[in-house]
Amino acid sequence: MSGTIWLITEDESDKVIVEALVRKKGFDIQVARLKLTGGSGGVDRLAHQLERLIRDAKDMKKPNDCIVVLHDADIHMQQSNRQTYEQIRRICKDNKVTLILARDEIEAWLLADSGICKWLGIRPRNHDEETKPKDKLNSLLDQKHNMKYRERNQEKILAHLNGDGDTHSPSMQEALQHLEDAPCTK
Amino acid sequence: MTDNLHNASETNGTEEVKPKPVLTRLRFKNWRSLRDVVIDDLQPINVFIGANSSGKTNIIDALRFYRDAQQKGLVSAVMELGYNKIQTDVLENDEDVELEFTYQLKKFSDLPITEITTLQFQKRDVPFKYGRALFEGDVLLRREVPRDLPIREGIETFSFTVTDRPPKHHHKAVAILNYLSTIAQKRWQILSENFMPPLRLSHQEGGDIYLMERDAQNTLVILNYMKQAYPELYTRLSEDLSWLLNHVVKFDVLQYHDYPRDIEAIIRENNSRIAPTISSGTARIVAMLTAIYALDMRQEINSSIDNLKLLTPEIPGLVIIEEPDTALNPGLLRKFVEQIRFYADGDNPRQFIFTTHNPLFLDYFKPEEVRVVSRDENGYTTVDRVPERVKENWLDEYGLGEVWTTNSFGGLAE
Repeated sequence: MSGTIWLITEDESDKVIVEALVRKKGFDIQVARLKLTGGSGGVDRLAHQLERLIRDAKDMKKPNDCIVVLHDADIHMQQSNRQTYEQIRRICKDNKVTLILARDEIEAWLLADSGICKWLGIRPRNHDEETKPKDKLNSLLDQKHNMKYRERNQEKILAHLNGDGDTHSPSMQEALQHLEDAPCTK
Repeated sequence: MTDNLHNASETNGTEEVKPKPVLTRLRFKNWRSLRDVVIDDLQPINVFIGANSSGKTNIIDALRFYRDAQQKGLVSAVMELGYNKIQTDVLENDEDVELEFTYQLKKFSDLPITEITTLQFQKRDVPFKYGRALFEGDVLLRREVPRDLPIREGIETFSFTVTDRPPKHHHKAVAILNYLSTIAQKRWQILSENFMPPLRLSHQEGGDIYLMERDAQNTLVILNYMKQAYPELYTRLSEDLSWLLNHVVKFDVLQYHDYPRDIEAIIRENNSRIAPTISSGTARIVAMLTAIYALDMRQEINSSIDNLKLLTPEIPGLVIIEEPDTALNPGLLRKFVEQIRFYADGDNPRQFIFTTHNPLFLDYFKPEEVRVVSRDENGYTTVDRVPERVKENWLDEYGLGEVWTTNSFGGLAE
């Protein structure tokens, strides 16, 4: 019986990417997103609301479901702001919830995917350590396909996904390992 | 059975007890997307939230259908909706559509009174069957069996066979059914989501002077009658409008000297001038308040029952409004809900059912007043309460509408 990933993210676009990736990887699971109040964005808001969202997810989850917190680690952010990330990590640990971190932004996983890269005319490689992979993706989309990286275009972009970005991206590899270990994918 | 049907507010010695909600429970079976849905513990104010196409309107349409069937006859009500658009599409021929309404009617019983209307449609043929049953608690008071009715415009064959009619319950059952029918016909105000009252009416246009049309087209007709026959109610309505809308000093319905049978709504503003236009939000508020205040007008009706010949404000009223917040400024929503609470808490039993998509509107309701409408994996509508944990987990810091946007209790579009 397939389970559900209760995915807590900052942005709607993250859920769509995760959904596409788990499908490509052959996991028979649903993805339901718990959102922050007041729309997308804001790691501070995620940290502030995370415990409540986890409590809700725990209440709604069935035995073979799992809870996953996914957020961009924003590795290039100043050290002084790192305490928020540490807080999120601690909350996930205390609640025994899977935490998946994209090194800077989750779009780095798309730039490591052979299908997307072929469509964009570049070679797949690791973009985990780069700043703002979303901007790079946006620029490539604009050049090659006269397209912006917007939510409404995600379906068209993700149609080219092969789901093999983990061969180049260690952060995606780690994320998939977490998912493979989670009860909802068993 | 209590004889005085007008005395709906219950009293207990000298201490007045607030009237409980009259309609306490709804159950819909095989009605459109509602495969089998129970909505119990209805409050004085009830709000259905849910994504587009979740089934909110199907709930409202079931109530409207029941009212229309009482008003115009079952066949007309079926024809209006379309007989093939009433039942859940997967039904076999022998499955009934059931509309079950439970009331708390202290004048008749301390036990809940439940009326179940059943409809059975044939797949290939147009005739359908109709029946109904009345229960007091678990005790059957009356059952009318399904009987073939031809669906043809204008044909009303409302004869039916009463199979179970325990003699001792006969008079009580008839009195209750008449009472319920009268309440639904005359005391259920229903406004559809896109209602918009015209602000000027020519003399050719008319309409009911008590019951609001679903699109609010007869708002000025009701107001004009209220102004003449119940000036104190009319003044209170205008005062409520002024409280809700700061710019309104006075609201009025005027008849023209040249065309005395033409009427127009006007608003006098702070500068004492007449506003050149009335916004759609203001017009919708006028319609909603009119629907509510119309229930406070006494109404003589044709009834075979002596004590139902005059409907008075004390008789329960139900006001159903789809998306009342449409075209209202977010800053106005709080005052609007406060005004509704004023009506719901008043001496006369008034119940409200709203639908909305708006988290800002939802912020002003209590969790127990809110029902979450969603579709399950099979596409059927589900209706759930707001989980208790939401209160404990969130509401110390966040509004209910804000929490709804997190998807923590469903009903949100993905």
